[in-house]
Amino acid sequence: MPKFKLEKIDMPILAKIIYIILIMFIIISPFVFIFYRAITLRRPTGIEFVGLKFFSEITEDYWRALGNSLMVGFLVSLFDFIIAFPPAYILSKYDFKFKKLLTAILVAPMFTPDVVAGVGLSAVYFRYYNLYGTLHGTVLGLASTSYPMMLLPLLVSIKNLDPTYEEAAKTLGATSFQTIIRVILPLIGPGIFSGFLLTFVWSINNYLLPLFITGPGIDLLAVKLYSDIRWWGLLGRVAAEASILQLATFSVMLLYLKTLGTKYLSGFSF
Amino acid sequence: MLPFKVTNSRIYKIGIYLALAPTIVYITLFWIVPIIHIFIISLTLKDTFILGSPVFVGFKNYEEVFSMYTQSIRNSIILPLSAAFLDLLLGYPLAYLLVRKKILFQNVIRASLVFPYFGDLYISYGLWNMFLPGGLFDIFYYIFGITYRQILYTHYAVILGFSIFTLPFMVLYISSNLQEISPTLEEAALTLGATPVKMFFKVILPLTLPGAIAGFLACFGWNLGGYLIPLLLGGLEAGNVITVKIVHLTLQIHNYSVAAALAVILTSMTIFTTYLTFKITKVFK
Repeated sequence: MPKFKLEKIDMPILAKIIYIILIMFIIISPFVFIFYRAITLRRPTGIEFVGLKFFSEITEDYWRALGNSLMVGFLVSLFDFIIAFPPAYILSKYDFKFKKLLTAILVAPMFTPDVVAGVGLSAVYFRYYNLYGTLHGTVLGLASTSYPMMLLPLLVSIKNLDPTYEEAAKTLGATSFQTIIRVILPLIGPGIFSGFLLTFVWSINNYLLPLFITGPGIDLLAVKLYSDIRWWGLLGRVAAEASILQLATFSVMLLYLKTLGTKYLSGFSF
Repeated sequence: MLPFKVTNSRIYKIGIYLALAPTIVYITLFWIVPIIHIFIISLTLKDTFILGSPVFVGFKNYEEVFSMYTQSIRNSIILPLSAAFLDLLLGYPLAYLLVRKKILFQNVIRASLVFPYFGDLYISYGLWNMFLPGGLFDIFYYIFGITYRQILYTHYAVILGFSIFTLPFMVLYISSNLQEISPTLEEAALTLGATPVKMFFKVILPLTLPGAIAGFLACFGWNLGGYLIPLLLGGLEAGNVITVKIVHLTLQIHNYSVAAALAVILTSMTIFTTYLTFKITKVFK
């Protein structure tokens, strides 16, 4: 260890702690406050603890929407994987013409605002594809802005993969298809899992794109929550609904971080 | 890299394009075609394109946008810019602490940074609850002697919401840039007699500048698409941003063409910032 030490430029410990607590407070408080609102009731005389009363007020179609949302989320993740695996494999292994252009086009949808994608998709759905308000239309539309989230973890994990495994499989006589199925897919399992969870969480929380393309046909949880927030605002029931979707999101993200850490998120900063 | 020399054969190249074909077809149908159609719709009259018989009116919609929606465009630039600046101030020290120092609960902090990614709904709803009387900020209102209307439904509330939403991006970009820089450089500067402040401005800041600029642009680009945060926290005046106007014009008034013109402006802004981000990260590497 050097003698001059980096401690010299340390902020005083107290300032450091206060700073971190402040940042954590800023980030976490909106999320926690919704839970708090869901179990308390404001009266002019003061704040009253009501337990799970607001949760029991949630209507049946909300729970049906939860099922719909989970199904759509799973389908979107699956479709994202099918769409994102071939380019991820080819982009990280081979060089060819237009590679940079292709990478840019593949990642760009992540930066398209949902509103823009929504207007464009709804117009095209109405006019040509006839997909407005259908389940597969919803899945295809949600996948169009979310598959970069599958692509980037896959790229990271395939790039980190030792090429000797693949070469060994090929020299021992496996076809390319067998190599991919038997060797590469099991080895990049964590990357796939991470992409699955990211796209899943992304699509169950997306309210803006389904607002344009799903229509009244299919109830999705996030859309329902959005319209409840706009219609009923500060009602305790809305806070309870929000905290259910929040809880689902948090548990998936905790599962993700517990098993994989933040390693695959590094792909998001290119 | 490959054990067999197939890289020059024609079959190999065809194979690559064949494997990419489904993805390219999908992206063309569900991303490129809609984006092109937004531009086409912006040249038609009201909702005639959706109803099936488009009437082309040239650039009339853009004239309307630039005469009636200048305030929205101005807000859409100013609010994300200030939010990105606030993110830079909040996120830089945090990224430095997370990469260089040992701090307690490091993993918990890293983990909680992920939540705002998906939390557009919760950030706006939670902050709205907190700002209103009876919320968490009552104490601050009492201390500073102000009413809630001086914070909520103004630019400050929207900027705070935006900056919470995109703080993870800033921390990710800066910390991934810091990880590539060897800590020995800092030690060298210190042994050669630089003060910590001088060391920061002469060594760390120039080296992490690409990450900071990329993070700044990414925050700006993501906040351009923010919808519920300005709607709930901004009220009529500060919430008057392009995204809110687009949703209002399409889903409530059915004036798709003006909305499409606004969407073209928004898209060109995001594409430009994304292009700059790519350019900067590439140039500095």
